[in-house]
Amino acid sequence: MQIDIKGLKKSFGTNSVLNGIDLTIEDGKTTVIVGQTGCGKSVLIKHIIGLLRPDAGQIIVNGADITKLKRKEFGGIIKNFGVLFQNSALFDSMTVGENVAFPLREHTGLSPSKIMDVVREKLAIVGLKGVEQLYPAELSGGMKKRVGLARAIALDPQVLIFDEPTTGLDPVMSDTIDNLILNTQKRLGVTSIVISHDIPGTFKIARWIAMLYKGKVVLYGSPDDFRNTQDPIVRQFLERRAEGPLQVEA
Amino acid sequence: MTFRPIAIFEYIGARFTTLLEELGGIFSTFLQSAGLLFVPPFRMRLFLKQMEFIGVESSFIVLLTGAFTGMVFALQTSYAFRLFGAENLIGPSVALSLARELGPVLTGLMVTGRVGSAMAAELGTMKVTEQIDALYTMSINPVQYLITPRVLSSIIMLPMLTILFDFIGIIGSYFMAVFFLGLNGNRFINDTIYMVDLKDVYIGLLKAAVFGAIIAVVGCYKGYFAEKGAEGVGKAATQAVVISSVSILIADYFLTALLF
Repeated sequence: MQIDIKGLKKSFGTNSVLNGIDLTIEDGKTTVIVGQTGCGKSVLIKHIIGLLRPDAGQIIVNGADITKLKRKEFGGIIKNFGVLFQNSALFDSMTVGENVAFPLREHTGLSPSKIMDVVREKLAIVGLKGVEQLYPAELSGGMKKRVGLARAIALDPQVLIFDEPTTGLDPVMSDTIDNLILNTQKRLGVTSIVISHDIPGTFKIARWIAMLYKGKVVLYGSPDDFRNTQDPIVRQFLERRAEGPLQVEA
Repeated sequence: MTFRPIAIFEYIGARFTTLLEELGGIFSTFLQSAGLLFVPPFRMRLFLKQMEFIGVESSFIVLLTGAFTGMVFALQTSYAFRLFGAENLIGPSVALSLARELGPVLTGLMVTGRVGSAMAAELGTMKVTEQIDALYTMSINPVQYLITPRVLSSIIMLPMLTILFDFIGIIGSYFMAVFFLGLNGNRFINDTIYMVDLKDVYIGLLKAAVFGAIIAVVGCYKGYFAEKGAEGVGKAATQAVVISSVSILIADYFLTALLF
């Protein structure tokens, strides 16, 4: 499923966050969106999943501008999306098994025993076994992410969205999650959008990288394009330097 | 600093606008949740779970406050009625006050403290931890999934709890009147039945249903729009209790003026 973002603009009061984003998310590939905190990455994602409406611009999915769709029509499209939230957003009143089963119960007519089979299968894909009866509060951060991913892929989505999947995890767990993203992408052939500021992880998983700065795309290209670019903004970001055109907002 | 008289009006105007916005938000939440009641899918399990939480789990606190309210009411009225030898009116006056006013209002206030704050805290936590966003991305209407069952259950369970409150309150006053004040038990019952109309009870229950709607809608609204992490959730829970309690007392006045 290809996603075309055209001239997307969004302001909150006087604070303009997206200033005309043009970006194509290629079908069946992983696109990583990088940039400083507050550059508009999360706001962009919230537009793609319909939590925010833009002031101007379009997001074309399957030939339809999803920013113009009514709630009901959008509901049909969003079912093809799986989202892994930054803090996993697991339902804390439900067990791990119930969390993964939740979208299946709501949107499929599968029998309870069949649903449990699918739950076990999805948990196995993310490398978890025998955790169905645990509650999210009993899991570590990395395990929560994996359960979140299992829930996101429960309905076999065509698009997977990861909001900072490795933030707050140790380097080994971060790499494990990166591998999981790579393997899931290969295995399911889905279109993946990853928001990240983890540079090594980005180079590992990305087919395409887009860097946002002040609400615009400053560079879009392959990992090699990023390695070879002379753009001072991109270089400063990749080299993890405090000095340069990028400034930390006071 | 110079004194600007206009600032007073600006302040009042700003507070008034906020109040209107809140009222509009609360009312629109009510309309949305009510409208979605008739739209499939119907999730019976969620309704039953909320009924258990709002009704069954509140019954002990309602029994306790009901019994003591009835007892203290009998004791207090006995002082006045004894002055002119009208102790036989203790039963009817307690029953009437409970059915028309104290039953629904005190039940409403007790349930607000227990349930309204819990709803605001639960939905608020779900909001700030992106669980509500997660529901939305799974193509599930969060208002229908979270708010509709709470509002309907609360509207149904508040009258049930009020019946419990009225009943145990009258038993409490009977206990006080017969065993401590030495009144005749049969006469207490007969006078009470004679003086209290079923209409008094029904209108009390109607009030309770309205209070139920207020508690759930305000609690859910405050939680659903909570912001800024743990502090925001705490604030939502506190505001839910304050707004619901005040609204219950205001609504009680208007309902009494309209219905009796």
